[in-house]
Amino acid sequence: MSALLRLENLAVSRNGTPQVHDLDLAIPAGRIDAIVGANGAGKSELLGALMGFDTVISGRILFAGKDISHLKTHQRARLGMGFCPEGRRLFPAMTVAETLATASRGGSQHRRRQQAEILALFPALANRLNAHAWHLSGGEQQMLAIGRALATQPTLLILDEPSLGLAPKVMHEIATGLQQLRDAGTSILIAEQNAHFALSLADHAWLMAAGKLVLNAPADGLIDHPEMKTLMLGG
Amino acid sequence: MIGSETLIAAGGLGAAYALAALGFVLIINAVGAVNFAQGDFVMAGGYVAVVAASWLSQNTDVAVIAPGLVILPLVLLAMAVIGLGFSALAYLPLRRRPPMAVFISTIAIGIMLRQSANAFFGAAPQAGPVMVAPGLAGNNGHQLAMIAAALVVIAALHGLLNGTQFGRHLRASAQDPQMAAAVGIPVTRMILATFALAIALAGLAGLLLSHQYLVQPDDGTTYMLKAYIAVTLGGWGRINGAVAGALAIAVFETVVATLVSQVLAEMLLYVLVLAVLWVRPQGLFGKIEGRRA
Amino acid sequence: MKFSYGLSMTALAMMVFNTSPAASQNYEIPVLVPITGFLSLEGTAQRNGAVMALSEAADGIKVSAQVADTSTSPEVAVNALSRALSDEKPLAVAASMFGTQMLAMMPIAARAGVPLLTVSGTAKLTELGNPFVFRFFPGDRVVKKAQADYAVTVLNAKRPALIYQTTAYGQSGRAVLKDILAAMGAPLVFEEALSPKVKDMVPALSRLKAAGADVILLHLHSGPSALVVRQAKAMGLQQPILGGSALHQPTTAALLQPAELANVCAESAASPISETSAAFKRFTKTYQETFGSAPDAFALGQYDGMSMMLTGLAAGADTATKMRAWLANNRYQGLAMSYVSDGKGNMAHDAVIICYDGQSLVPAISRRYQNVDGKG
Repeated sequence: MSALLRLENLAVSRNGTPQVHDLDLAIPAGRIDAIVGANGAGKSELLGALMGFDTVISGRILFAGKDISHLKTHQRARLGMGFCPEGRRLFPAMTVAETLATASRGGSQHRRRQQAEILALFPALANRLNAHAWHLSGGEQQMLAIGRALATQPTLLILDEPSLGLAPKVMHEIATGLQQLRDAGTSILIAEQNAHFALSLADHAWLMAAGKLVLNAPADGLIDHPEMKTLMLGG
Repeated sequence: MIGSETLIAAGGLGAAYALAALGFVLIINAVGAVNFAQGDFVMAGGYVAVVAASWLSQNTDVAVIAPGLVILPLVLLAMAVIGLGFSALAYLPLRRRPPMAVFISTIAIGIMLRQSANAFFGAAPQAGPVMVAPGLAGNNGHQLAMIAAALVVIAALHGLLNGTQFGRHLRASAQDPQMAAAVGIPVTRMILATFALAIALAGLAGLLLSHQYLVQPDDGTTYMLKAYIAVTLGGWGRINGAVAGALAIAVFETVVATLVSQVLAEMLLYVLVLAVLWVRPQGLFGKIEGRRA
Repeated sequence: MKFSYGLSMTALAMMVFNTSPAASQNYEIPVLVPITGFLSLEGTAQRNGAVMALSEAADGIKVSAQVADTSTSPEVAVNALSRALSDEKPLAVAASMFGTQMLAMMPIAARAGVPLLTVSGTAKLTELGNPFVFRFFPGDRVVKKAQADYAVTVLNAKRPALIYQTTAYGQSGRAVLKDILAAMGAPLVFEEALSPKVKDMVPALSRLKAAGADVILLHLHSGPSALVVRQAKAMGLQQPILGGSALHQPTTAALLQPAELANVCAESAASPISETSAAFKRFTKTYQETFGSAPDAFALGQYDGMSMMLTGLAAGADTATKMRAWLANNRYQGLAMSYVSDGKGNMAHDAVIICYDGQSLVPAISRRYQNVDGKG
């Protein structure tokens, strides 16, 4: 399989503490992968390492066949990695329109097209274009965060805990949006505590515990897996 | 007693202080550190103006009728380059350390600027060029030109920050450097550009002040204090706040000082600062920042 | 035998304790003056004058200047003086003209028994009974009297205004001016104190105008003096300006355009660049060539003071104690004027008023005042 994203023997630390150990992962293009696990399993640090926020102790990260382990964050973004962090982290003093424009590359015509595409995906944002981030509802903020990542035209969209704090109806809208994106050709990688949400959305799932991957299978089969059941009951 | 001269003096002073305060705010927003050398860069801009004007008068035969305006773009450019150099010393080596480290290095660089100016130019005050020669636009031509120059630059800055992609990138880098990088913005380069911009603004303030108020190596601390107070009054990190605060200071130094004495006017300004800190610590324009989404 | 033994012992003693300075001793004279800070102009002038005088010492007399910057605060001056006194006791010290610093240095000099030679105008220096201060610049009681006299008798001031500095120098000058003007029947109608850092003079000038003043008197340092002149002219004020010593300095005038200096005069001890005698021309030329700037009265005063000291040294005053006594008891004809102590260390008793004509930056001597306080 020619992997879009391949992790080899990856070990990651945050604030000096190792959180991910000896992790191997390979994800092909064109599908939705979900990494599920309880709080503290190391999911966030793993995604952080992909973007260059967290320190890689050892191992390699290969994106589209290229070793990106030593690239700076903005260089990885330009290679095609889009990121939607835990807690959204929208630019506090920018409006919706400005946020989307900032993330777009290219001239004003291109920016207009980008905005139109993202509004087509998330119509709720259409009449909030001049609102600042902290005026938006939780769901609108999540849509904007995803929209911001999409504005960079990524090949791989990475989301950290997208369902956090969202009402079920909104979660459903977002899930639909993500599936539409996958159908249009964007690969997606999600880290989720909410296994139910993740498994209903993903094509393939990875179970992470204590910094290691313990299971990996197509999402359908995993719902009935005993380990998954433990996770969904306790997590 | 408050004649037109007083009001125009207020406008001229306010214009210069606003430019210095704006540069100060840009750096606070970009790196979270107070640039203690901001006032010393105002002084440096004054000296650049003195040198450029003297070169101009010695090497051109044209009796220049608006020397200050002619050298204005040169001062901006020279100070922008100096600002890049400054960021290479004060910010780049320390960018992974907490903002306090940058703050301290700006103190050190401010002192170096002061001593270099003293060594190079001597400690005697020097006069910078007039913006427009007296006779054009009456006695107050110089101050009116100060106000006009500042308004143009502030408007341009506003346009840059809010209307261009580059400006949006600068703002994003200041608001959340990690996420700005995550959308492909080369954040370190943006911060260097912010320094260049901030120091160019300080230098312009120095040019504007150099004729009426002369330039001396020790002027830096006074201007630094004014920038700090402007930002405290107007709202820490707010651009329009910095301008408002600067105008307030200018009004105290001119209008209020004309009504009461100089010493009392200065005291009243500080009473106002204390009052703002007690009653509305976020400054006139400050918002208690909405929790980030 | 005894007789010749005694003679030879005496001869030996005379040789060993030879008081002639032709013995190859190098006298190091500390020059502690403000080279940085708001008095740098005056301090640099002091330094130049002192250095020039010492370099002109007669053959056989070896003196050298040890220059140190006293900057703006009394602590720095005190440190510099303590350091200078810590090795060998110098013959004399050329000391900062900043009144506040002098007041701090004087007790230390007195304890060490070393005379301070300064050009400070602050009156208080010679009112404290300290016999180690020698002021080679006329004190406030001389120059301010000249300033007040000129204002009233020549400029016909009836409603004079005064802008002065908040420093010791400023306050001392104001006190003297206020008294003299009142005694002459033209009391001040307006006064304003400014800190040396203030740059905006328009508020004070506006209030001065509103008070109906007819002559503007200044008692300010160099930068502020220039700022007042510039901003007063920009405001269109017609009143004549009669400034303090700072306004006679070539470096102050250089900050302004000749047209701005029309109707502007100043008091001073002297104005070397305005004088035409051969001796003055030589002094000015040598100074200009050595230091690249024109000399002012502070440089000249310090030069005369150090020259008087050298004369004393040649006459046998080769210790600090002897120097102090010599300075206190002898008259010296310097370049600017004749110097003699009034018993309190005030050596200079003459003044001049210089005026600018609006065409040139070189002023002319408008009036000479000799022996103003009767002690000269």
